[in-house]
Amino acid sequence: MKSRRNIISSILLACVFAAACAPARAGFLFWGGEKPSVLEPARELFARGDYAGSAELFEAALASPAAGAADKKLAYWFLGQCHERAGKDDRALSDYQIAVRIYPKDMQLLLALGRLYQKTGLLDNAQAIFLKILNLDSGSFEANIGLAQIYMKEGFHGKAEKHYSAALESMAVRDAALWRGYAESAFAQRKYEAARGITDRALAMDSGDAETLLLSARIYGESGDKTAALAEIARAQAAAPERSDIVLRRALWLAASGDTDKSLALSQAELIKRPDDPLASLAAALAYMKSGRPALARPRLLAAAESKEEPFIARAALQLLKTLPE
Amino acid sequence: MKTLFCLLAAACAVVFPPRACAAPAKQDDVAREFLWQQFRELPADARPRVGVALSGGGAKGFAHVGVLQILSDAGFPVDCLAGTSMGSVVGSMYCAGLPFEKIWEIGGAASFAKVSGDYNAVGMLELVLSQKLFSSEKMESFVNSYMGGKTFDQLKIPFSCSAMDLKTGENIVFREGPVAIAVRASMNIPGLFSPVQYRQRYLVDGGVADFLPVQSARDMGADWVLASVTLGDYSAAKFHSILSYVMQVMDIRGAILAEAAMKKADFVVEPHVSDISFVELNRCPQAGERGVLAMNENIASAEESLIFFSINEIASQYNK
Repeated sequence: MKSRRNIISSILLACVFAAACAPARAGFLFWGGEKPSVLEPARELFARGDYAGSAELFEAALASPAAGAADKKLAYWFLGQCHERAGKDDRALSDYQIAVRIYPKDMQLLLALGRLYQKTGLLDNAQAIFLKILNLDSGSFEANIGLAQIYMKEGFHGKAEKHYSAALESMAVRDAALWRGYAESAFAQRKYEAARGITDRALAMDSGDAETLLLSARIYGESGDKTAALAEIARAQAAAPERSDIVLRRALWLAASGDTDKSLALSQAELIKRPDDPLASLAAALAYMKSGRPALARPRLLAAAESKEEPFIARAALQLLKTLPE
Repeated sequence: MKTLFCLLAAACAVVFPPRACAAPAKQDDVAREFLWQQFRELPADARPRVGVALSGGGAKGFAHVGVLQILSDAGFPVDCLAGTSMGSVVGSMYCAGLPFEKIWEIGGAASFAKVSGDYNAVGMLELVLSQKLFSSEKMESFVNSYMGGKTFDQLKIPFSCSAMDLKTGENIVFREGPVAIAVRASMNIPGLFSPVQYRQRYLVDGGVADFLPVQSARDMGADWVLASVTLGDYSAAKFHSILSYVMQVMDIRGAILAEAAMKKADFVVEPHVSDISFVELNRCPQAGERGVLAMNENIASAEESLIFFSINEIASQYNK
């Protein structure tokens, strides 16, 4: 029953966002089924991407005595959307704040405000709004996801996992990125089995998601299965061959596992493209060290130590240089 | 029908957008993650010993729970732990192997209310009228309630806690015997509780002798020490009771001692808890959350510090 309710609420929520891009007649889909005809010209402009023009009309509609409560809620929401899309987040925040003061229990306005707080980094405020939404509807998908993301960022991994679970487990949401976030919240608590199970579900939805494959590799790596970890990194590389960070991650792990020839082949290929690449230099140096060739490691570490953009790599390379045998 | 389908498809695309192209990870992050994993895979006897020092601070000190939780999540090894006052209460629970869920639960207002009853207004009036100090036996019972009469050698992680000898001013570091009385002595606020008589000594809160026991952690064999410090803002204090005077002195003394001890630590984390007073034990959960925030913000730096400290040991896996 709960699952069905969640699915329905998520579809309704989806409609809210879709309506922003949909023709004006789609307004019947939300805020009480009243047809907000007074807003139609503004919505036509909005649908055409004229956010400045439509904002003016929505403001006029808000001042109009002809506008009913449903029109006004909708107008506030659209006004905020106009400002957000025009990059005026401060104005949008102000629109939503005013609207929420007038309609404190309106879910769509609360969600818009919460999401904008989250987007602008006002996490405490976003958290308070999402909690308020959950008080009104404990199954709110968006509020649970918002809270999960905030808690994860702040380090409350257990709480993040709880909210991801509430949002995703009972719904048929096929979004690998959200499931990856869920898996990360379990992994951050060293719950390897749970994290692997969730990652597998994410990969079943999108087997070519490089980030999920990298997470899977980390889970295998930390739980001791290095072979599986390396295989997952290789899959990630195949899924996103243009990403040098994945190539070099693989080079590092191959060096650590003792497969220095393969490791060097990868890092050298990157060094041909970018001769002073700090991470490629570090990976090559470690492979040379592991294969007993410190003399070849030295110039690579010297190159990595020169990096200004990657201060951690530069310092690590400098310290590793001091450990090389004469 | 077709229009409705298109509308729903568009809706789903907005709420559940297609996979976004993930930005490549920063090179420093990739290298840090890799070297941190290399550190973590070193056998315990082939890497530096990691110690944690937890300061005093009354209710503020419950922030240490959040600090320890983030360290645990990041896979930080803790080879030994030294605590003072509230740091000893939290440290004893952690070293006894209590799950974090249980420690958070203990920090809840209901549990601490049992030991904080003497701090309220009626308790203060009683203190003034009788001119007789309270006994801190409740604290000992409280510790025993979760520790089950354990001795130091029965703990899962080596642990020490500090108290001060009231007659000599010495810092007394407990590392053996029953844990509960040692923790009680370590959190035995002078001027409020009567000294704990133990091993021919009169003992009071360790916060006045060794507020931040970095040296104790080193004495337990720690090569690299992370210090969690919970200081008060004593400039904002208002003196409306005996207790507030005592706490003010404790805070100032703690800050002076902490300043010197922090210089001896390899990494310092300072949760923002200065607005929580020493005796606001009902705010322990809030302090704990501040500890999570502070350590989470600094975890990458702490990992870097330990990687650099262990670079010889990490390199030894490559320089064969």
